[in-house]
Amino acid sequence: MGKFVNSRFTLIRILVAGSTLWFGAVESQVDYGGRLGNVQGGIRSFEPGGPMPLMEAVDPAVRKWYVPQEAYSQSSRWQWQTINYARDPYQRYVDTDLEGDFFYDQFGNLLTQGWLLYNTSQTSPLEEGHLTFESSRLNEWFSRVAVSSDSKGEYRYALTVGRDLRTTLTPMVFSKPRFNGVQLDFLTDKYKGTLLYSQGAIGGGSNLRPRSDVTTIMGGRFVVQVGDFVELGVHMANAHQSNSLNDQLTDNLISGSLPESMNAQVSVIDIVLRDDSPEDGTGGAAYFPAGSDIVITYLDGSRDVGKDIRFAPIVRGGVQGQGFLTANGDEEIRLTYDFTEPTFVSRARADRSEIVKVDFRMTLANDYQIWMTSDRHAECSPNSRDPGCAGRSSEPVLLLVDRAEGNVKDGSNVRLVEFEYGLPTATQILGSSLKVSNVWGIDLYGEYDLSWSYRKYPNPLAETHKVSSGVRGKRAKPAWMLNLSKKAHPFFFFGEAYSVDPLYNTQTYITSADGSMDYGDDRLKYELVDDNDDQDRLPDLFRFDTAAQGAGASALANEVGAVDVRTFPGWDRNNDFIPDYNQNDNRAQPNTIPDYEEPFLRFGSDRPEFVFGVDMNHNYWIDYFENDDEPDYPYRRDHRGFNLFAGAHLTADLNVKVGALREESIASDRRSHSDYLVMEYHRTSPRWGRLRLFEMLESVHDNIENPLLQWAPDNSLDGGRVTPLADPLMARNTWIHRSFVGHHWQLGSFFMQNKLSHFHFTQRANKQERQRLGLDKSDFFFGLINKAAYSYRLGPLELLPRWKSEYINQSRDLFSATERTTLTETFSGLVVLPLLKATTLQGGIEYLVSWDLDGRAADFNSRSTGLQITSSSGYQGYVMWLVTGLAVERTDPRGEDPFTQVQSFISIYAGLEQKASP
Amino acid sequence: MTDLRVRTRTGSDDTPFIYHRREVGNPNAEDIPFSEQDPDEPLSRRDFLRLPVKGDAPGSMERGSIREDLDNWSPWSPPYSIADIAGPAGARNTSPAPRTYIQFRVDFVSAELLSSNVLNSVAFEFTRPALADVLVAEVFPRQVEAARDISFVYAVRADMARSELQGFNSFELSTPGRVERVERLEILGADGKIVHAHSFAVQDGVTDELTAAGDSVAITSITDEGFAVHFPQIETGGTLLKIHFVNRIFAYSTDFAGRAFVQGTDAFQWVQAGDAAVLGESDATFESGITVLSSDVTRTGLIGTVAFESPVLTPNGDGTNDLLGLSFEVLTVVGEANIRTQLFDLGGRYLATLFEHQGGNGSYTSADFPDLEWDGRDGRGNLLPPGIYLLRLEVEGDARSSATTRAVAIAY
Repeated sequence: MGKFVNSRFTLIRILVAGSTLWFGAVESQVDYGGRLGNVQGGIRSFEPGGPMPLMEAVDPAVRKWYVPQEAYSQSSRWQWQTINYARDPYQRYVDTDLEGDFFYDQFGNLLTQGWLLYNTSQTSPLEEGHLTFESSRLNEWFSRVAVSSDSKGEYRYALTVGRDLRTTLTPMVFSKPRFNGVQLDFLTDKYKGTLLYSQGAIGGGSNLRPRSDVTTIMGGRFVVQVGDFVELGVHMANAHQSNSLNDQLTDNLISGSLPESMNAQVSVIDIVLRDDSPEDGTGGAAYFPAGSDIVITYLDGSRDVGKDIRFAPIVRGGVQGQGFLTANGDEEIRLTYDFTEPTFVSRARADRSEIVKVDFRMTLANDYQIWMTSDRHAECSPNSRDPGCAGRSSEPVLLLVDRAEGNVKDGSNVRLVEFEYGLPTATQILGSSLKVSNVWGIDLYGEYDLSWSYRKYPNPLAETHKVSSGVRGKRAKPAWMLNLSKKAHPFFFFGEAYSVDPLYNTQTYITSADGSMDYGDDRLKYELVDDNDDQDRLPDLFRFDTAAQGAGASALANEVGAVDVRTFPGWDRNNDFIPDYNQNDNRAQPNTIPDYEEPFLRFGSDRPEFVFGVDMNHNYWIDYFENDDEPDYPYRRDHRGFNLFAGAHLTADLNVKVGALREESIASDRRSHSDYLVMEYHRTSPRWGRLRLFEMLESVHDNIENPLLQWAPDNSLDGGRVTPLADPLMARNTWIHRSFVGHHWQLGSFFMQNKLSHFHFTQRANKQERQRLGLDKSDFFFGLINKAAYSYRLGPLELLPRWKSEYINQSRDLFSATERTTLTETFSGLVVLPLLKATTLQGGIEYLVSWDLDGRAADFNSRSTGLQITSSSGYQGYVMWLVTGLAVERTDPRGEDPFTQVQSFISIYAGLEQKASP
Repeated sequence: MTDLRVRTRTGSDDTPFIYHRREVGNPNAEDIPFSEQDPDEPLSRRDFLRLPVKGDAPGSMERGSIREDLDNWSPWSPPYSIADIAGPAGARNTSPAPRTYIQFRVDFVSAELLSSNVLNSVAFEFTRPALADVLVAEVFPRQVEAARDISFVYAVRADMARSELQGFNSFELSTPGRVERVERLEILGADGKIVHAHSFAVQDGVTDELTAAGDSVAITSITDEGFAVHFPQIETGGTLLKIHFVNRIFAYSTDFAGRAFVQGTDAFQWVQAGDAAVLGESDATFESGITVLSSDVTRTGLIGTVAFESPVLTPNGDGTNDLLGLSFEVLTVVGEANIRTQLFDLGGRYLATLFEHQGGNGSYTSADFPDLEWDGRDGRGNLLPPGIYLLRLEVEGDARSSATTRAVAIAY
């Protein structure tokens, strides 16, 4: 009846109250408030309903009522009774943290009682409206990855959240080994798609971290099957600065926002013009002052043209030509536009605080690079509170705007280049793909992508900011690739064409916690396509989003700083994240000696000079083993061209290929032309073992530089180091012959292996030309390895005699132009004597002699002896391995005192397997 | 290899820097360039050095930034050509002059650790007294069509406030190629009235041997690089010298640099680009300068006018039309493009390469390049039979190429 007293206000309230009463009457005679939920249409729900008075508990009494009103029906008002646990033992309070919290959706539906694992949200306009929450339970319970999925019939989806997601849209657009964010995948018979979202550039953590400025990552790819053979795909990836103080409906989500502390007035803008091919020292950037100008737009839409108000830049550098200035080699022309100088202040229509857009119209010619910066575009913004900026100067950082195509030196490309100044706010890639599978034996994959690098002019007075990208007429930078193959046995064909603009970009800056930007710190960049040449779990470059993993990061990530300090692409073929050349290295017992230098181990391990593969970019390094600091696009930036080959299987074991490569550098006049012939032979015979032959003959004209950063194993504490290697450009007019012979034979207890690696660069240029280019008549590497081992039993003894011979004759190796001819013979023998059931005594002796056939200067011999007892036993579920022993190595270099090293050791290892597998 | 890079800058006071002081402990404090004792005076270097690098007491002053004084000093010049500097004539000072102060800077750039270079001496030559305080020059029109005869007027205003100035009586103007003709010279007083005026007869401009003396007005030289004129001495401030001449433009941007000098002496002074006078209806003050632009070369090909000296070639040894002279213009190219003329018959068969040259923009005539005269023979020296032949002219630039084909006739 009391409810009808409250129903006097509106008709709606009457209806609601009436219906509530009706449902309540149907449900139960006892009123339990909201504890049993509400039932509507037979479905019980627990949406929040607010406090509701229980009329039964309403008495006109003065006494205060301290228990829940729902308890009235059970305990009436006797709340002063002594609590006595004599019969009913005390039940402890239950830790509410173990029960979890109640969570409701945005419509008020109770989702669950449990724990929030992950939440990311953006609210705008609101100060500190960006929020990313990662519970420690996500790390501890779910190893940093949570998956929610569902399916029905052909439809299925999965929502994956975590820090270490291996995520790829396409290798040209988005590819990361450790994506920190949300990935939503859906799949049907005909359609499939992926959406990505992250504020992951801030690193994440177990605490709520509201921020105004974050770098937001978005991406997606949608693929539709057309017919039986064709797949069409569209994709995008975007990384932009988000400022939650801006209204997202008026501020462009694609082009991003200016971080709060960067949105300040600009006083000085510098334009820097450089030579795009400085190595030739001529034909650099030509700047025509009379044909260049600046246009300044103010808040009210009015404009000033530089020449109209006689506002000209201060020009530094350059060499005067006929009507132009030119910057050759490492010279540069710096144009400083100072908006505080009297010329501007006295003649401009408005104050510099009202500038909303600055356009540059520059007449340029020849091989130019355009860079720009301002007093806002610095290493650390002047008002940054970022600890990383403490004590650092605020040096301007140059932003590359455009590069001239080719290497024009005669001014025939004179043109007006128009661009706008701005601070970087976003990187956007949009593209599409086409895949055709097995149509008349043809497989095809094509992809076309466009990359925008957005900038915005900072002005705190402006509600919206002018956005720009690239230069007028070239706002987006293209990249495309096309692969086509055809099989029609015994013939086959493969073709690839590609072009990646030198300024194709998948990188953006990320904001610091205080909204400032440090443009000079490479770590504060976000890579949509990571550099991960070794294809392991860690990107090769140090970046904040993978480095700031927090306490929940994997032990490996924490140990190496979540960046790959050991990049050894292709040198880890067993995928254990340890270079195959130093397999006995580990975190507990670092070993810095490559296996091919260690006694006994050197029998199985060969030097990296013996790795073999093709070298299509002719930089003297096998492509499969190359490492660089570029994103892992399928093709290098600034390269375009095509490569075609056709071949035939002449027999089941033998095939030949004939092909041609035509490639050029877009931003210079460098080219790579090669015609090649390849023969491959594979034969496995039970009687003669496995034989592999590879022969490649190339005629090459290649002057494109492909520098590398290569992991060079050494005896240092780190076991090696990433070594910059310049492209020696040895194939400018050259015959290249490359061959490999591998033979592996095992017959019972006898094992034999032979390996021959040979490549030879023969220069066709005459002597004068070779001298000019610093080339020898020929460069070559010839290596031959022969190994044999035999094991047999003599009573309880197991004997293993081994022999290895290594011959190297080279004019240079992979790391240096070092001539050498060496012959190394290694004889060793191992003896194994079982002592007990799981205990063995092992002894070994090795004699190595190495001859420096060029001059005897590096002759040496080495004798090694080892003795050890090995046993294994079970202990608390583990298999304990005890190894104790002694190792003696005596090295006797020619002309020097011999050196003896003795090591004794007792080691215990706990493992899970009876027999450790390599 | 060690490279030397010599630069200069000039100024009108004794320091090229502006020193600043800053309030200690105030993150929003601006740099103050004025003296603490006398706010009307700039902060001197001496006072700057007396300030602490980092102050302790809030509210006191510490050292601020040091910036270049670009109001009173020029920026560093582009590096001078070492070949010019080391040569007997030296290199022309490219910093603004005359100025009271000059600084020079030498950068040693070494590509190898063990290479080095030695600078033994630096010498400057200067004119004293100067010819004028400043010679402001401009050319008009400044936007023209390429490969057309354009009538230019070049004006030089002599600012001469000081009393010890020399004045000048000759002027040398650099031109892109040989000037077509020098038409007229005028000297106007500060009040704008014509003091002297002289129109050159056509024959005046065709000889390089004219000499001048006294108050006469004459062309003293015409070369492929420019021309010089003589006129009565100018020694009054505000005097305006105007030279009317006809010239062709072949490149996108062309500077008409000039210098005044005194006939018979070594004294000279370069002009500075600026607003000398109003030279036409569209002569906007803010655009004044000595640079002429020809924007159409960015849209057109690399070849301008192509012409034959005669319509037909009659290589019969009679002394008339035995040689066919070809002339053409190359546009835009500022470096060296490959320029080639080839001969084909009407069937498209190659007969001869008549001319092959690496060159830049400008006019190419048989007077300068004898290979541009064709004697009617093919590449093997055989006299070709009468008929119509095709002459293809090709200019191959780094970024783009242009070609044109013309028919030539041989008759006997």
